[in-house]
Amino acid sequence: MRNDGGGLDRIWFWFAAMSFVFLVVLAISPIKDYFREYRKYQIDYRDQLLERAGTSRELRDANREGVRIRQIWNPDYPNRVDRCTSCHLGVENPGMADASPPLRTHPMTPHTPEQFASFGCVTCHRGQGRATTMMDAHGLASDWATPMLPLRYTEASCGTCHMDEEVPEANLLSRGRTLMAELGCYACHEVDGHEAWESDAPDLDGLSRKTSPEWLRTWIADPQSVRPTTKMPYIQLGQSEIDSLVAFLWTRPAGEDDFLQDEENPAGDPDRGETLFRESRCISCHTVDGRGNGSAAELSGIASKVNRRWLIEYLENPHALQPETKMPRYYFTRQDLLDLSQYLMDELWDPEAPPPVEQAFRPPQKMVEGGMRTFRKYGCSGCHQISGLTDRSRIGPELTGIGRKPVDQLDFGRRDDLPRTLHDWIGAKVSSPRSFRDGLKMPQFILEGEDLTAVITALLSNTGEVIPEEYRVERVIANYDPPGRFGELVDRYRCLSCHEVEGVGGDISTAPLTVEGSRVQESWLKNYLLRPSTIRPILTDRMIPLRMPEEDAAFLANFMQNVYVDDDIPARLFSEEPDPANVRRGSHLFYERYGCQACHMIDGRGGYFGPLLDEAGVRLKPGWVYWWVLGSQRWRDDVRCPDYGVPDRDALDLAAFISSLGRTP
Amino acid sequence: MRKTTRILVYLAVGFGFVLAWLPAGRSLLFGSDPTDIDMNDSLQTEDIITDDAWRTPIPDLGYREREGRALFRHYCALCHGQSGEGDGFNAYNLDPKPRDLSDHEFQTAQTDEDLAEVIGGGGGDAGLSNAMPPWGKVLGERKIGYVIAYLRTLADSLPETD
Amino acid sequence: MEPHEDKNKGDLSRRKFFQTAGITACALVSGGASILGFDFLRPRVLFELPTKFTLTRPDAIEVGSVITDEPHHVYVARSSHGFRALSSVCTHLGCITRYSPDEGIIACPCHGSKFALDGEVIAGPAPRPLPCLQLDLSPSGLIVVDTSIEVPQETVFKL
Ligand code: FES
Repeated sequence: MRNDGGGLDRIWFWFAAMSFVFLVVLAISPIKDYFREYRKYQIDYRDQLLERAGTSRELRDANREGVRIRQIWNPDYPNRVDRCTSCHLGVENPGMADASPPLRTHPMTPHTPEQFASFGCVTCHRGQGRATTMMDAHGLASDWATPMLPLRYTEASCGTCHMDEEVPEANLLSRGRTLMAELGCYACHEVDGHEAWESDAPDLDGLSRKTSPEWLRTWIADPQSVRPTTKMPYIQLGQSEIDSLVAFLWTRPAGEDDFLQDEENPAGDPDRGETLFRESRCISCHTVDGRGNGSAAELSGIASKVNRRWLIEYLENPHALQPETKMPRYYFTRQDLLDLSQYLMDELWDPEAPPPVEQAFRPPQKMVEGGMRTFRKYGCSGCHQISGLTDRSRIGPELTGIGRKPVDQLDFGRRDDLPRTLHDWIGAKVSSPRSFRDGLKMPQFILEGEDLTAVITALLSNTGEVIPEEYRVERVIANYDPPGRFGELVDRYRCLSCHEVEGVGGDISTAPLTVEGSRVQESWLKNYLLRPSTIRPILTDRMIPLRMPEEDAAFLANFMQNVYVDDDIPARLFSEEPDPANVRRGSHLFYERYGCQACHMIDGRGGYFGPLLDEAGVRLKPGWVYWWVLGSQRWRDDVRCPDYGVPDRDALDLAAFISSLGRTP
Repeated sequence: MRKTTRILVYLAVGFGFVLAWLPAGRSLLFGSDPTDIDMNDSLQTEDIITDDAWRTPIPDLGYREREGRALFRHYCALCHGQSGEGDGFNAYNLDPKPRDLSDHEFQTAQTDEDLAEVIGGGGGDAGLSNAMPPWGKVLGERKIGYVIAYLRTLADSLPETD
Repeated sequence: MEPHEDKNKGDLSRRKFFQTAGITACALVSGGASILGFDFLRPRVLFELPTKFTLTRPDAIEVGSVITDEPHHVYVARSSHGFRALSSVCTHLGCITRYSPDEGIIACPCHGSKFALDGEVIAGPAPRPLPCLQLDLSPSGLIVVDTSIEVPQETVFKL
């Protein structure tokens, strides 16, 4: 009996114990649920909503907020759901702007708040959208390949869909992409969509006629010490590599050693040369001691770089020596060339340049061959054309997809000091490329501060991801060739180096020519081409006097007048002279209502950012003024003339007033 | 009875293990939560994954301020000057002179809404000089917001809250 | 006998304790398990469009116009009285209807049902009007449609 009782006891005991264990095991799930990270945020959020609720409706909405997983599901992306809003609860609620994260409102950006539902969070911020704990969701767990982007690189994500170089409202990304093109990253690295990149580095044929071996040596050794603004990087070459390169370059074609003698060009008048230099407005593109537009080469030190004979030849016809140059061909007389070159040679020499050597340079053949190998090894032909080397293969690794590379696929080499993150790796690669291993070839670029961040952002934007078609904003590559004789003249005067037509061309000039015929009067345009007058006194980069023959000017003006027109802009606004009353009213509107004189000067009164309007009556077409006043951003979207929302009647009167300026009735 | 106590102790220890296994339970037992990070500053998120030894440079300005700076330099600096002191080159002929936006006092006295009104609607409508044009149509609400964010950095100020 | 008795009594009460504890725990386990089981069957999150979603700002829709939200199959129409959301799924056999701005009606391409902008059937085999859906305004000032809540046909939201 006692034994039986004892046995039963034991059974009951185990029964109780096991039941209890089951209970504990069962409790794990609800307990885990109870301690979920998002739960405390969701409760906090509801409390804050209740606290802030002003209306009964807000109170009702607040009370409806329960504890649950919130998510954004975007069917356009395969398999993507973002549960970030389970903790980041206030992102869509502008009332939470002063709350602390994660409950705070998302700042207003081009895609928020309207497009939260279609973009989700991971599209821009990366991380692991499905996770519901912070470490996992932010992608900080070591097995997640794409951790969250630090906020300072978020613009990189704009670039996964926006393929253009300039992405609106993404300054840093646009800057980075522009820098990459300018610095010539695409010369060595293949990147999807940039196969057509073209370098604007000079052709290297004929250097022996242009410069001296000493100058070349100093330059190749460290270009930036000679000219800080140059885009050519510091290649970090050894002395023998430099010597062999110079030898190689000197034989393309074999040296004539022109730097030694110049008998056929008599001395010119440097004073007249200086006047010519100023009148020709060379600093509309070049700089002298840093002053000027800066889209063409710095000219100080040029006398130590080139010899006078080459300079004269170049000024006479730049296109014969550098077919791809952006420099127009001026019509200089022989005397002009002598004087101008004299001025440049006398004034713009570099005191630190190596002293000229008085003997011919005849490098041994072995050195020349070594130089060719060096030239190939460092991928010089990625940027520079030179005869005899036609293969312009890229020597660097392809960069498509670099912006999403998992960290464990990166080679950190010697850089143990680096945090193991993609952005830090890219940053170090870009700012000190040779520090990873010996034998690397990437040159040293000068990139600091925001520029470095910008380039990292641009690289991070290159994810090579497959983006649903409707999200992609393709890169537009404009293609336009001015036709016929007009095209020939445009080429000769290199109008497109400064002006834009149909999306093609430079942006030195503020005036695209696409609708020039609707804008200005033909007679004025012809005169302007012959003798450019000042329209914007404040600019350094003004229209250059090309000294073109009258016949060319007439042809150009006439062509633009007939072809570069826009039918939306009224060709003839007034059938007869406008009523003086309207002119008076226009004048009143100009000064009193819209305050146009803040920027435009008439008779020496007013600001001088906008164009002078003294002669606007002979320059502009009234229809243009009318169209302009009604919304000048239609012409160029960055025009600074504000859109006042001018009513039609005011626009007509303003046009009447402005077209009366500078005309003798 | 001693046996029961012993078993209860076992169970308690077992339960403690289970709790400790759960991340949230750990915080309950040991106080600090290893995932509990102040998200106020985006940099602190990074602190988990980077150490301080080496860092790529951090821009001085956030996204909105950077956008604002670009807009300010493009549209406003002509008169208000690069640093907002009202000394842009186009201010030379203006009367009254453009507002000194780097003035701390002035900026603290203005709410974001005040600034947005003058930038968007122009000086004329606000009873100021008509030389300050209305930018509302060109910039729109969002971009004016960027500009204001940047203006605040010029005077290093936020509007006073009461 | 006394101590024996006592011990026996102690045995009994201990057994009783174990019995009660074990049975209570068992009951809790089975009860809890069934609750959790049911909870498990109900999905927490689904890979489908939410029934409640935001659209544009109210003033982006002009008076007298209709916007179509393709993914959610919803129209939002604005009349001079206010806003109204309609499902775009035909009540006949479930084709997706289309709004034709020229005629100002909603038409089904399958069997030619036609609906007015308040959802009423004008023509065709459709048995019922298009369901009218709940509209609301989000805190950020966007239109919120809730397809899970149907409202009476004549409801117009002011927003
Ligand atoms: S399904 Fe629309 S009419 Fe038949």
